[in-house]
Amino acid sequence: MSEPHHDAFDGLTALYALGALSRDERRDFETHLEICLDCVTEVKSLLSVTHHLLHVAVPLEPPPQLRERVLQHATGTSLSGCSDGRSMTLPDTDNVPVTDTVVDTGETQGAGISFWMAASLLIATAGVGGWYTAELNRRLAGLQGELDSARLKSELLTVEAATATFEATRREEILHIVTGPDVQQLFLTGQPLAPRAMGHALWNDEANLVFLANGLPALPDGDIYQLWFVTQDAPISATLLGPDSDGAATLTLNIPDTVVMPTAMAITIEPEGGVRAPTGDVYLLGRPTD
Amino acid sequence: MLLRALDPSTTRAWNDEPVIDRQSVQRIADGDAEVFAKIYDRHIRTVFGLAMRILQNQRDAADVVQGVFAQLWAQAKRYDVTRGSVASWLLTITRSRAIDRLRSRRTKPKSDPTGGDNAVVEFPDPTVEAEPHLLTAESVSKLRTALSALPLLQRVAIELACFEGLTQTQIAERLEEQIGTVKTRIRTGLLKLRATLTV
Repeated sequence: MSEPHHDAFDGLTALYALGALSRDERRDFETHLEICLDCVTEVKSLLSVTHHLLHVAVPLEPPPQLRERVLQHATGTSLSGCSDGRSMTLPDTDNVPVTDTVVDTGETQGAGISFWMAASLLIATAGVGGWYTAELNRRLAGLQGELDSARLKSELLTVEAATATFEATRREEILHIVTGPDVQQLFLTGQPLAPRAMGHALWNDEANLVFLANGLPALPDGDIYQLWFVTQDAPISATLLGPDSDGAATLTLNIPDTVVMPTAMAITIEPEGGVRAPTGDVYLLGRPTD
Repeated sequence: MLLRALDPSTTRAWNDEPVIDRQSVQRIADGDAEVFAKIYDRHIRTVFGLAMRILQNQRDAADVVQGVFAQLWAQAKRYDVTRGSVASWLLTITRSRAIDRLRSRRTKPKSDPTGGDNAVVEFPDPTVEAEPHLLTAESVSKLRTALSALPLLQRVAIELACFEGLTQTQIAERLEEQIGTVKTRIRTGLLKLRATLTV
């Protein structure tokens, strides 16, 4: 049964269930809930939805070193013996056919690359053609330009504004890495399943890494790409990535303490949510120059 | 095929987990570190996934995860088995901590000892009554699909509340809409999602 002033609280059930009322609004609405059976009933039914929503985020594989850190921090004990890391064998890239745009298997570079020179120098050292230069310049220019983007007006652009602050922070982080004096890099080349794909990792002495990918094939439903540090002991998951409709992806991550750079890196295709050890085909692979 | 192995973590049945979890939390309350590690292994991907969904930054998400599990270890005795699943409890804590981190990353926190409107408003208690629909991999998948199928602004308004902790007023400002419009969008969207769970 509704109480006499129910109309004043009409529509607040969903906001309450989502925790989207201010402190004062919430206090008033909870007072109303004490006498309004209709609202109590609807809130209960909507709470089921809001708690389910927390499970909607795609499960992700965390950095492998996090387990030990969490367990030690919480319990003061080390329980690292349960790790199930498996070995990962690098494919023989000597037999991979060379394509028009992919020449080198990857190399590291040191020091002192300015922002706008970075793209050109990276391309030159990889021996890759003008297409990639233009593409990388375009993307880096886009990152810079979006930092200065004006207030968005249309419906779609309004949605972008909802994440603009966070995106700006991320882009500043990328620029900090690629323009730093201590930047190093590794190129990843497309494997037979993705011969036109390319990857590019740049990192600094603070263990911050930017990863750029181009030309990745569209993912089948239920699959995702997973980036790996291929160490001598075992592959270590770096992160998951889902490319955009052009097959491009840009992300930042922290290099785990257990990884000594430069090391080989690879991208495999895996079930959504990722796996602890690689199971799928290799799409990109890069190794430091021997 | 260059690399092939089987990941056993993807084959576990969901329905057995709530009971196992609740028993495990009782053992964690008694200081069982090995059980704590098993709970970590069971839930880390969903907890980390939610933290990443909110923060979009691996370093911040890892810090939040550390805080969540530290809280589980320290407060396991306070866990009330009549209040929803352990998974929901962990995710509720994750949401609160991640949104706190998100806000502190954006602005310097104001010194309001009461928390005021800057405090993260947690979802009301995840009581058993709040979870009448069994949480299964299928129900989560259906909800994920239904959420993505909502009209854009309905979905965005819900996500801003759920994953950024914004109030109706803040959502209205963000979307440049009237509060009444936001209220309607969110309620309409949640009712559609509820219908998905009841099918």
